[in-house]
Amino acid sequence: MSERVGCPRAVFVKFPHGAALGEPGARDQQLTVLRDLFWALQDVTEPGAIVEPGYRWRRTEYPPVALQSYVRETPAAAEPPTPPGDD
Amino acid sequence: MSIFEKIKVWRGMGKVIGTAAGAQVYAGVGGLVNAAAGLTAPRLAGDIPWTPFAKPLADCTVSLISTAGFYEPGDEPFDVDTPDGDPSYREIPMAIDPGSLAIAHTHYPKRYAEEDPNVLLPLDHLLELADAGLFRLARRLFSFGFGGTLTGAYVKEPDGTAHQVAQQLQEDGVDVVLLVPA
Repeated sequence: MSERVGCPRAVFVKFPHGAALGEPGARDQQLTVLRDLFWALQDVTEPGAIVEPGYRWRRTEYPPVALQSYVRETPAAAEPPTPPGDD
Repeated sequence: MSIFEKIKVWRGMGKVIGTAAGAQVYAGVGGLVNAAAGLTAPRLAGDIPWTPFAKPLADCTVSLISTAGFYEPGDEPFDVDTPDGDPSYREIPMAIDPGSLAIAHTHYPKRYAEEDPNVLLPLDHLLELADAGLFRLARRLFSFGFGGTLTGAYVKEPDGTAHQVAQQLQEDGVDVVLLVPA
C-alpha cells in the first residue's frame, strides 16, 4: 500500500492490523518502533524507501530506548536498526 | 439506502474481527487484506512527493495522522456503514488523553487499541518525547476513519479531504507528520 500511494518514507513491521506500534502496554516495543520512524525521517534519502527492521510481534525482548537515541547526530553514519534477539 | 447499508455488512464484519477468534483469522489473512486494499487505493500519479529532512529535529513541529477511526466522544463518529468508506476526518487536540477517545472503524481488530490506544495513537509517547525537547508537538492531530474502499474523495483536488488536512498542517507550521495506519 505504501508503495502504491507513494509514501515518501515508511517503516514496515509485520505486526497484526490494529497494533502498528506493538502490543498493548509494551512501552519499550512501542518506543522502539516510534524511534525507527524518526530514524527513517532522518536517514532515508531515497524517495519511497521502506525500512523493514524485522521485529517480531511477540516473544521478543525490547531493550529500553534512550530518549537521545531518537536524534541522529550524523545521518551519513547512521546504521539501520537491528531486530532485538530472542531470549 | 443500498442493501449493503441496510444489512450493515461492515458493522457485522467489525463485530466478527473484534472477537479473539476473529482477530486470529484476520491476522492470518492480513496479506490478502493488504493486497485487496492495495488494488483499490488510488495509485500515485507522478513522482513521489519528497522533502529532504534538512533541519534539526529539535526545531521541527511534529503532528500525527491516524486512519484508525479515533474521535472525541460528543463528536460525530465516522460512518462505518457506507460501502465506500467515510472520507471525513476529525481534528483532535494533541494533548488529549488517548484513553478518552472512542473508535468508529470496522476494518481492523480494535481490541489492541481499546486496551492501549498508544498502539495506534502514540500520544503518551510523543508528549514524553516533546517534553524532553526532542521536537515540538503540533497543537492537533488528524484522524480518518477510512473503511470501505479508498476513493478519490480523499485525494481529488482541490477539495479532497487529504488536501484539506494537508492545508491545515501547513497552517499549523508542521514539519513532520507521522502517518500511523490501522
